[in-house]
Parts: sequence; C-alpha cells; structure tokens
Amino acid sequence: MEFSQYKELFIGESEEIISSLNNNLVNLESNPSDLSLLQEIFRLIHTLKGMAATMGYQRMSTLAHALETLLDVLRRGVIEADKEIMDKLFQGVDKFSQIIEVIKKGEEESSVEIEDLIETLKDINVGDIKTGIKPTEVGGGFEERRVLRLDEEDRKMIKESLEKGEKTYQVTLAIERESLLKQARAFTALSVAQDMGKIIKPHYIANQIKQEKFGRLVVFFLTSKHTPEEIRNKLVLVPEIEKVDVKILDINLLLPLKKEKETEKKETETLKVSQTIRVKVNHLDNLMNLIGELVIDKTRLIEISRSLEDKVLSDTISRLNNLISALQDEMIVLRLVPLAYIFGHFPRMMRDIAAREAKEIDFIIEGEDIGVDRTVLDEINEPLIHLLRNAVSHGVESPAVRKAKGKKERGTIRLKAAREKNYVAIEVSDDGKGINIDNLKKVAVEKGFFTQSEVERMKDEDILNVIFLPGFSTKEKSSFVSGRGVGMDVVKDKVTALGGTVHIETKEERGTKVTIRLPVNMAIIEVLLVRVGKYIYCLPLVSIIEIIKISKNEVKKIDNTEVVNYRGTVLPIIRLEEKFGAVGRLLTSTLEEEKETVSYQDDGLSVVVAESAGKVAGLVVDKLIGQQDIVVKNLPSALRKIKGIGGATILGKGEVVLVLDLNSLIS
Amino acid sequence: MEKEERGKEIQVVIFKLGEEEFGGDIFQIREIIRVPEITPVPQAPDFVEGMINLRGQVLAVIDLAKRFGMKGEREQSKDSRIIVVELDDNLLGMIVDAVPEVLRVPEDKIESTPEAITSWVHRDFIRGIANLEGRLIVILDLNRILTFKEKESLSRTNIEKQDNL
Repeated sequence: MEFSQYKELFIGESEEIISSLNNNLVNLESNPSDLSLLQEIFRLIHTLKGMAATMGYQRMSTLAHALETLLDVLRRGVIEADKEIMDKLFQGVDKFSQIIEVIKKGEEESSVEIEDLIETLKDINVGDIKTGIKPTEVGGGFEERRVLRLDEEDRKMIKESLEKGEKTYQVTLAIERESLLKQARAFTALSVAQDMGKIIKPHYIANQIKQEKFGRLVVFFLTSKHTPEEIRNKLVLVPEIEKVDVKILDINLLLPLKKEKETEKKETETLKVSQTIRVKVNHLDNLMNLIGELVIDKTRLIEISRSLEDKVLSDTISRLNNLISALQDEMIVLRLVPLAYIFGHFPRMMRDIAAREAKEIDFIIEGEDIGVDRTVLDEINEPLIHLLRNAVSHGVESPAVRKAKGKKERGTIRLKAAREKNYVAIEVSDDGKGINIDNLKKVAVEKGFFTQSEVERMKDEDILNVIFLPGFSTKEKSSFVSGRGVGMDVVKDKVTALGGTVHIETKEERGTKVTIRLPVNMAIIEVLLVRVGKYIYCLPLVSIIEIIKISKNEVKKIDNTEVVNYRGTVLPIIRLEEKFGAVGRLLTSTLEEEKETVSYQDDGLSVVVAESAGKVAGLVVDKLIGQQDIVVKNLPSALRKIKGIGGATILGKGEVVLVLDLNSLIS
Repeated sequence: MEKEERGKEIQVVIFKLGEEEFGGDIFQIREIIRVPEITPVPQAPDFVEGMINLRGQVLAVIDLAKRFGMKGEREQSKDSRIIVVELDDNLLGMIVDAVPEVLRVPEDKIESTPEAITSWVHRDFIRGIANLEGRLIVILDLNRILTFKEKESLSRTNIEKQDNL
C-alpha cells in the first residue's frame, strides 16, 4: 500500500473520530460527570493521537496529547467540565478538523495554529490527582503538572472534616504571568490558606512548588469551616495573585481506587471493534454496473436455454440465477450506510447554531441506524442541514418568548428516521412557533405568486407548498445561518432529484414538521413499463395510485387543461405523447413479447393516476406493458436537467429506456 | 493536451464528417464503437442524438456534424462510428461518418489555427491544422466539444424540440 493510501485511510478514520468526539462532547456538556462519556472521549482522543503520531503529524498528536491530559484529569473526577473546559475541548476538536482539512488539501499541518490553545490548556491542566498512581507517570510537554495522590488516609481526613461540618475545597490560584517570584507567591498563598483550614498533602504541594514543578497555576485541596468567599477574599490579598477559584469538592467524584482496574479492562474491550475495511465508492459503483451487466447476460442465457431445452444447461442456469440474485442482494447491502454517518455531525452543529441564536434546544435523534444508499446519504446531508437550521432559527422561539407563551424554555427539535418499506422517512420537527398561514398567504400575494382570490380558495396544505417555490422566503432578514440564499426550494429540488418527496405540516404555536421520504436504495426501483406511441417509458411505481380506464368522451376541457372526473374530484390529465413530442425508446420485439398485464380497446384511454407532493394527475398511456424492478442509471450529466426525465435504465436486452420523473411532470 | 514536448509526434485518430477529414488526439479518445441502437431523449438540444448503453453505462451521444452546425439530414451508414471521449467524469459519445485511420503526426506539422481557415467548424473547437503533404486535417480539441457554456444550455429545457429523427 502506498503512503497516500494510508493517508486516505487516516483522513477517513480521523473524520469519523472527530464526528463522534463532537457528539460525545455535546452529550458531556449536559452530563459533565458521566464517567463512561469521559472514558469514551479519552479513548477517541487517544486513538487519534496514536494515528496522528504514526502518520507523522506531529502537531496533531501534540494537541491530542494536551487534550488527553485534560481528559485524564476530568475522567478522574478531580474537576468537572465547566463551560470554559467544554469550550477548550470543542476548540481542540475544531483544530483537529482544520488540520484534517489542511492535510486533505495536501498542505502542511503546520499552517494550523495550535500553540495558543495548548498554552491555555496548560492553564487548565492542573493538580492532576491520580488515585494510587505513581506521580512519575507524567509525560511529554506537561512536566509542570503536579501529581497528587489521594490515599486512604487523605480520604479519611476529608471524611472526618465533613463530619465536623467542614467542607473540602478545591482551590486554584493563578499567579500573574509576569511574576518573578512565583514560588514565593505560591508559598505565601499556601500559608494564608493553611491559616483557614487544613491543606491535604501539604508537604507534597510544598515540594512541588519548591522544585518549580508548576506553571503559574497552583491547585490544592483544603478542608475548612470557612465559606468559599471568605477563602477567596483572603487569598486574593496575596500580591501578584491574579485569580482565585474556590470550589466545593464533591468527594464522591473522586474515583475509588478499585475502579481503576475496571476501567482498564473496559478500555481493552472497546478496542475489539468489528473488523471493517474501507472501499472507495467508485469501486462499489463499478461493481454495481458489472452486476447489472451480469443480470442482463443472465436473462439472455435463460432465453437461450429455453430454446435449447437442455436439462443440464437449464439446471446450471437456474443455479447461476440464484447466485446472481444473492450477489445483487449483497451488493445492495454493501452500498447501505447508516444515517448515523451524517446524523453524527448534527448534534455539534445544532449546539453551535443554538448558541449563536441564543436559543435553548434539546436535540433528539432517532433511527440513526437505518441504512440508506451511499448516494442518497451524500445528497441528503445539505437539505437536512437546511431544515435543521430553519428549525432553530425560524422555528424555536427565544427562551424569553417561550416562557411568556407558557412553553418550556428549552425547545425540542427532533430528527427522526423510520423505514417504510423501500423508503426511509426522515422527519425534522420542532415545537416552535409554527407557520402563520394568514401571514404566508399575505406574502404569497405580495410577492405575486398568487392573487388574492386564488389564496382565498386554497386549502392550508396547498398554501404551505408555496414555501417550496423558488424565491420565496417569509423571513426578510437573512440570518447568519439560514440566510445564504439557500431556500426550501433547494431542499425540494434535491429530494425530488433523488426520487423522494417533501411534505410540510404546521400548527401555529405548536411547531412545524417537515418529512422527507426517500428511496432507501437509489439504484433499484419498481417501475411500470408503459408504451406511449411508439416509445417505452418507465414510471416509478411509488408515485402511482392506480390505473383507470376512461372513455375518450369523458375528457373535458377547463382553461385549456384536459381533465376528467376522478372519484368526484377533478383530475388533470397529461398526454405524454404531446409532452415529449413522441420521443423515447422504440418498442422493440422483445417487449412486444412481454406479457401484457392490462390492455384496452381503442375507444378507451388508459390513465395512470399518479401523485406527487400532494398533487394528483393522470398520465395517458397507450399500453401498459408490465411491472419490473429496474436498476436506475444516472443520466449523463449533460442531460440531467431535462424536466420530466428522472433517469434511464437498461432493460433485459440492453435497450436504454427513459425513467420518467413524475414529480416534475405533475407539479 | 499541451504536455507533448517539441519535436514529438502525436497519434491522431482521423474521422470524417461528410467529405472533410478531422483528427483527434488519441489520448482524448477512450474508444471507438459501432453505432448501437440509440434511445432519443425528449426536449434535448437537437444535436443530442440520445443515449446508448456502453457495457452497462448510459451515455449521451451527440451528432458531431450537427454540433458544428452542419445542416440537413444525414444518413448513418455502416461506416458510422461513435467516438467515446471522457469529459470531466462523464463519457460522451460523438457520432462521426467514418473512422478510416490513425496517423502519427509530428507536433511541428500542426499549425495553430491560421487566420485563413475555411472550415465551417467554429475556431473554438479547433486545436490546429495538420498539413500532411498537402492533405489538410483539422485537429479538434475533443475536450472542448461541449464547453462549459454549451453544457449548461444542454441541461436547460428546450421546449421547441425539432423533429430530427
């Protein structure tokens, strides 16, 4: 394997780790004392450090080491991850992303600045207490860190003082950076503290200071009957002490000795992850194409063997047939990637957006283990980001407004995926202010999308669809996140191009729900083969409601549109022949042989009733040929934007047939 | 392709459009195939013949002569071929009337488009003219047959579909 291939692997794995780091950090923010989370974050950073070091990315591994040190302090429960520490952790992970981006571009990692962050990390990395671990265990770059052991005696002492009604504090002193007398100041502060209570392991601390084993931060533990304020006020009087932090120490947070072994065991267990290899997507695409070819040849073989009537041959071919089907199924599974792959990036993103917009949200993800085709996954990311951003900035109200409305101050945004047969439905819902239909109508008229009389006649669900029209946005001011000119129309276009649908529901003051339905498997869909004039088209079965037969004189004209009465409603009909100018694939003899499922007399019309985004229309076809599973091929890029054509497929004998895009035909 | 050094030869695939001879750098050509059955695409520009199946891959096929603005109906013959080129990441097929030979042409025999060129092909598509003992061959830059602008217009819906079948 070439170095560059290792590099690709490294980048891929790093991105995954960064993504799960972000998720775990978001979780940690709400559960700062969750030990298993801390362990997981530690493990991830440790892995990243090892990988970066192996690849020779020195800066990345240095930064990982610094973060690891901080995590180590956190997971030992000495200090809790407060806002400052969380910020540092997030910054650290962002630096990793930056470095990866730089490496991707083939540039030197040194262009990413990490020194400032490492410097501030040093300020946090203090007073590392390791229960029962040798103090010499400190490594690389952070020699100034002091290690304090809490043994049984110390615990006993803390316990006793607690019983006396005293409290145990963690005191952090920051000495001014420029101070030339750091040692002296530290000692003065210690003796001031000593007057107010008992310092745990005073000799050890004193020794460390004597040996100058500290940066400018001194951390010690003090049991005292005084209040934190009293201690603080005293210590702050010591010259050149910049900052004093006194925190009540929850002794329960200090890990008991024996837990150490358990965690070690856990670490080794998590290392046994399932064996995977990474494959480039284009190899999978090629494989898919080859299997497609194999299927076509198989069909030919079956025909040949039928005509030869040879028992041995037909047995062999039937076995081959089974093998190819199995291969096809396996191929489909191979291309499925769990939604978690993109969902994984969202918690961090939502946290950041909510912070920027000063909103408080609970973000809930469901169904992230559902697998979808790789192509779908890549394409759906952007629309989902847009919907989620909308939910934060236009959906959920600010905490104050929510409170005034009698709602919970924290809004809830839910991203939920569920499997529906061959489709996956992804919902983005919020409990925010919803969409005001009257307002929407007003804007629709103002912007000239509809006339006043039109909107008055429209149903609420119809008027909602105006949101998906290009150039429509009810929010005039483009906000930092949701502006950028990407509108709901882009969401719709993307989803439609993937053969999916978008549906929006809203209740004023209750929230909005946008549902995207997508085929799980882009490549293989069920279609109805129809003949129009001399040509064959495929109609995706998912949009088809039913097939009706009408007589020619049932067709009426309203405003130049042909319509028929369909179960009491007006059904516009589309004549494909006129629409396409009779172009498509000529009906070849192969298909003529296909069994006809439905066929009508000349005096009637066969109408395929299809639905898309709430709209129903009838497509007039000449003949229904049959139903079939097809492998959809992408159109050559140059032909991709033609309205009404969604793709192409190759039928049994190698003929290219157009697959219609019913969504764009109907709407 | 500008990477050839001076004094070197390039291999040129010669093809005919009508009576005129054209050439394309062999490195720009992926393969040359016989014309299979073509599925027309509705509402596509008129120089787009349709789509074909090339070993399981669907690719667009254009009529090169129509692309260059040659008027009139032309019959495909048994000599007609499709030249498959790779454009960006896509394959594109170009129908030509015949592909008689592949020639080695010294780089210095290729003159950059002279002013007095009489070919009806737009100069943007031309890489140079090879003068081989009085035989003039227009060397095309096949990667520019669909320039970005044209690619865009190809994608745009063309309502007025001419009946060119």
